[in-house]
Amino acid sequence: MKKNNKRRHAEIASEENKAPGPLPAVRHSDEPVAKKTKWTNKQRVLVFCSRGINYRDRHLMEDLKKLMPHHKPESKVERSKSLTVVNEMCEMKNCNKAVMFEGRKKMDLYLWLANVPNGPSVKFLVENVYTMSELKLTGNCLRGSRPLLSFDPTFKEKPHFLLLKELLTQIFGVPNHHPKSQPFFDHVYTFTILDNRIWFRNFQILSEDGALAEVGPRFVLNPVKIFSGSFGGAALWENPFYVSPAKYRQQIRLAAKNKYLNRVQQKAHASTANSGDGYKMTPLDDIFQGDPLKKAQEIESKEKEEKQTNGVKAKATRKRLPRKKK
Amino acid sequence: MSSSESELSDSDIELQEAFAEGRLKPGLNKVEAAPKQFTNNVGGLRQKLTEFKLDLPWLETLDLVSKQAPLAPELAAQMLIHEQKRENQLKNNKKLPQVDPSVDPVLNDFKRETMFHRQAQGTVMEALPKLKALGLKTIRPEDYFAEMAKSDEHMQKIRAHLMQKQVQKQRSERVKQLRSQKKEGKMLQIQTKLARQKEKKMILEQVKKVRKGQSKDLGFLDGKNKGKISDKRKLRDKKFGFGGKKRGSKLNTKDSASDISEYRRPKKPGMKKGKGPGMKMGKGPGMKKGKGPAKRPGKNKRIKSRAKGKR
Repeated sequence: MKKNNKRRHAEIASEENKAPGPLPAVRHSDEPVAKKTKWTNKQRVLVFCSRGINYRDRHLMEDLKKLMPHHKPESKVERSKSLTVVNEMCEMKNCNKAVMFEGRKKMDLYLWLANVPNGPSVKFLVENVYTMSELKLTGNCLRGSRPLLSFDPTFKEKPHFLLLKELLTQIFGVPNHHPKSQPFFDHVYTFTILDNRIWFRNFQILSEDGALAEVGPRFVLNPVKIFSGSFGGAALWENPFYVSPAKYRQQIRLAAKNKYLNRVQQKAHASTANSGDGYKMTPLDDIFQGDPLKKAQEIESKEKEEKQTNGVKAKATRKRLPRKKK
Repeated sequence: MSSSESELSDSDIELQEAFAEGRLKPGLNKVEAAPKQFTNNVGGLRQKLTEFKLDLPWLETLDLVSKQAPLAPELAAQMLIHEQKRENQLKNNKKLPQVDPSVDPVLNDFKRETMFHRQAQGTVMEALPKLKALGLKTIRPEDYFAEMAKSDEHMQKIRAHLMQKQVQKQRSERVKQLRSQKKEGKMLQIQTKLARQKEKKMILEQVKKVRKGQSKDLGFLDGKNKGKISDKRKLRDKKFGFGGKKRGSKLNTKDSASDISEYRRPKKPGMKKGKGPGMKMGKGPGMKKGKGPAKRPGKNKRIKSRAKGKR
């Protein structure tokens, strides 16, 4: 037996030695033609999340994975201070783009989009998440068909929007002739800038004349920062309108906290401002208040007093006057 | 106390220093922090963009910057209806927060979604002809089955949900309809009741007038207001009777029994060709004008004539 084996090995070795010789000049007619790869735009996106993500956000990630045949999955990553590890992970998985979901406090979701070896990368806050399993989203599309990417005209206006547009097209656009993709066009992604945020919607094309049905998911991306490197590097742009969700909640709480105090202060202020009588409408208005008889007596006595005082004055003047005349 | 004093003095010194440096503005007792500077490195952004931009034909990326498609008329109508409905809602329910329709969150939601929808439509209208010009087929054949983004199970769920919604809507509409019908019926009932009361009042008044001798018109009793009666009907009514008691109307009474206006004396037996007033002119086939009815010949004559005929 052993001898036989040896002989076989020897034969294989001899064949291998023969192979790298000069190629035959004539090709056989029934030899299959070498395949030309049409798949030129080779984007591979690593989609994963960090630990501590919300269930809804996890579903959103799963939906995105369903819609992106060019993604590569990765297990959850432990939260760490530096995200540069992600670059190595992408290299290991042979990916040149990364989508990372980062959950905080089981409440807030941050999304990193990155062009991996040499940037840029963007950090977004994700708001208003609706997953594809929402029942009011009635459309459906092929898994892995190529989406049309629709951008708002405002994407052309500012340099950071231009950069975001390029990054979004490279990540969300399914490459032509990707092996897992379908050759039909049955859905559209819309990216619209509204209120300094990017609104994402996914519509199914029902008919060629523009009838649409929403497939989902829905989310809003609030850009926080654009970095020059992937998961790090110098900041190229910062969003001046961004308020962190923690700060926002704090503001709400503060407003609620001061509610009682504000009210008490307002009341105190009102009471001091409105104290006493403002002004009298007519001087004789109080005639009709109280018992009429008493009032009449009071008025009479007042008049008498006035007369007396007037009389004294008049006498005084009378006494004086004749003297002056003299 | 001493520690707090020292703190105070410390802060005072700090403030004095700040004032000396010109960081403290007159009237403030706190160092004003400089407003945060947000980086916006336009040059860097442009450079980065050129660095990583893919120079590929459009087919590879399928990205389009497109304006919103023109608003479809039915959508515009729907929007208008929605706006009106919302306005009414706000008007009728003062408990709702009164907001301007232009900033109304509910209305804005609808407006916003239609905006996205229209943008997508614009892209579809632009992109599909472009794809066709490139010689690509865009529509999926009917018998092409592939895995979908949503499972069939989920789509069933969606369908059930939609159906349920529709049923609910129908039910509520029906209830609304019934309610309005009930209301209308009630109104009609009240109206007829009022009309009847009015009529009764009128009749009673007229009766009163007649009784007092102010008027002699008794037409109201016949129901003058009713439609015109045809002559034929009148004749028939006269002949067969109309209204009132029918029983015993054909029985003889004292008057009818004593009425002999129609009695005619019987004819004298000798008058054959009578032209008497009592003779009734028959209209039968065997009768001739001016003559009485043809008489049957006597027995002998008949026998004779028969014999003649045989011969």
